Amino acid sequence: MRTADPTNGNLAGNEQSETSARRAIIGGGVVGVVVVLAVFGAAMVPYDANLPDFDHLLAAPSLAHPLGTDDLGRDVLSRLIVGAQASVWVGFIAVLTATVVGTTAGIVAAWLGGAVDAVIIAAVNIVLAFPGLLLALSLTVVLGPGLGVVAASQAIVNLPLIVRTARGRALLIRQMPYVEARRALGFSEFNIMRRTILPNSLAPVIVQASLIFANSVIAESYLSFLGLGVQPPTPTWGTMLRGSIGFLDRAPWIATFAGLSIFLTVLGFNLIGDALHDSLQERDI
Amino acid sequence: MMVRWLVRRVLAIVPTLFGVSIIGFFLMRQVPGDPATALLGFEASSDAVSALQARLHVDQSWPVQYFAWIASLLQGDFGRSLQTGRPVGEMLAQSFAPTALLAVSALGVSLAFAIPAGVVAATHPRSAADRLLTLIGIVAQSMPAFWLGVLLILGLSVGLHILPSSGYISPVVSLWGCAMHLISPMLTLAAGLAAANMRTVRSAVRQVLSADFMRTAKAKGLSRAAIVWHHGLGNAAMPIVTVISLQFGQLLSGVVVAETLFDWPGIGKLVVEAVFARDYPVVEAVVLCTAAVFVAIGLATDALYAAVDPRVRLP
Repeated sequence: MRTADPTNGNLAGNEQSETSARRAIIGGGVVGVVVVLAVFGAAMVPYDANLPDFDHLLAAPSLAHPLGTDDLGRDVLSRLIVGAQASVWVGFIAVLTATVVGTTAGIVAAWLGGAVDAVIIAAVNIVLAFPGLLLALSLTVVLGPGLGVVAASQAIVNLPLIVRTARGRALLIRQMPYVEARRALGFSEFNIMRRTILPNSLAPVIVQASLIFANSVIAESYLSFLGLGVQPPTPTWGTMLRGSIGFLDRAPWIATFAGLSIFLTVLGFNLIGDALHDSLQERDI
Repeated sequence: MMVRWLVRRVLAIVPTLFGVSIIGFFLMRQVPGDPATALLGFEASSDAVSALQARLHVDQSWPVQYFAWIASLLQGDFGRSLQTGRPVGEMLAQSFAPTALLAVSALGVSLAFAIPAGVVAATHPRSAADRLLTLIGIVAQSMPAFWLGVLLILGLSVGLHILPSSGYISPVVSLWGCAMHLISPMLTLAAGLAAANMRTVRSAVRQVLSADFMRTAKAKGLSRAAIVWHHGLGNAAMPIVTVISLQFGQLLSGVVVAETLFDWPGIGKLVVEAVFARDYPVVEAVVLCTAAVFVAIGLATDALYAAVDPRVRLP
């Protein structure tokens, strides 16, 4: 696919993988910080994230409050740190569910073919035709707002992506000579599916998983922003952004930092996804 | 051959739309609370509530409600809004123009940026321009649309006072006013699309540039510009069209958020308000219509492919 020029092919490849490595390091660093904050943040925050302070309403960033305070005098930095939990949790549940269910369905569809394949593909087409945010909105209204519903809706919306990826990859791999060889050696179909097809199908699924994580972080903030995500006073980046709209002229720092948190997290996952995509694309099946 | 292929593809859509309609219908029926009570308020007498329930058919069994809904849908009747009592079809039609204006202009602006930028990046791989554009692409794709919207309001409306912060003026009333109100929501929507489209154009053009016929074109003595713009972009067009057609979902999510943030009276704002008011007929109609549009776009893309490349028409 790349230029076939033998003189600079290698050089280009090296440079490419260097860029990939750099992206992976930056992305991994950002994501690592966010995950650490999500897990341990609640114990590290300088202030109680939900404690109002009516003497310091909408205070500008200062030494006492590095990122300022909100309309109830709550410390923005503390709320941002605690808010990381919601984003990471939603992304984690969505990715885990979508990859486990989607990979299984995709490989089973490719392996069994026939009616099973047709049913799975039909289901995927229906979910695909359902506008993603509308599905999330409908689910949230039906089940009530909350993190679990946001995670579930993200798992469902992203499921088709994984099913298609895993199915396409499995279809490709089942034609490989080494699969034929294992069959000739007398391994059972289930064994081949689990031991050979599954591990070899995972690479493109992992790339999609990092993009799903990024999408879920954005979706959580969208739904919270529309008022359908996590309910106050629990801080999430989306609800903070929503709450800040009324004070944009007086306290622009709330919207700025809340948006920046979402942006950096999504950027981190996208960088990881890009780097994985580039490095896995090189590898043979 | 082409006609038979097309008929088969159109028939294949029916079960998908049927599935979407069933899911949409039953999902909205799971919403806790009763629309008649919601409309009349909790102080209403039980007689009034049951009278309204009968009028809205919500007292009948679900299958009856579903088939009554489908039957009237097939006659072009989307029912009436529980919230306003107006015909849903009329509300959809009214919201359609602002949304179409917003979505089409955003898509247009994104392509006006993405095509030249993508071609430059593809023809100068690993150059400073390529790196910069790639960086801009990743940043723009990671930017949550509504945050960009908030930043635009902060900078252009609150800070510089050059643009209105929200609202909509019909182009029929004032072209200038419409354009001023359009800029911020359009940019909010266009940024992510532009980034995604640029990456698509870049990889599609790059792939085509390494094809054998490009070497032939070069050997024929064509100028570099003619090769890239005519042969390169021409042959990269189909994969680009495919990716753009798949962006409809992203476009719709962006529309919902941008319309809510900028108080833009389109389909997105309509559906969010309907979701809050538990206005089933409106939500169902929006879901089914967008799904139909989505499927139709997919079909149109496939048909375009089939017309260009006969191999696609094989079963």
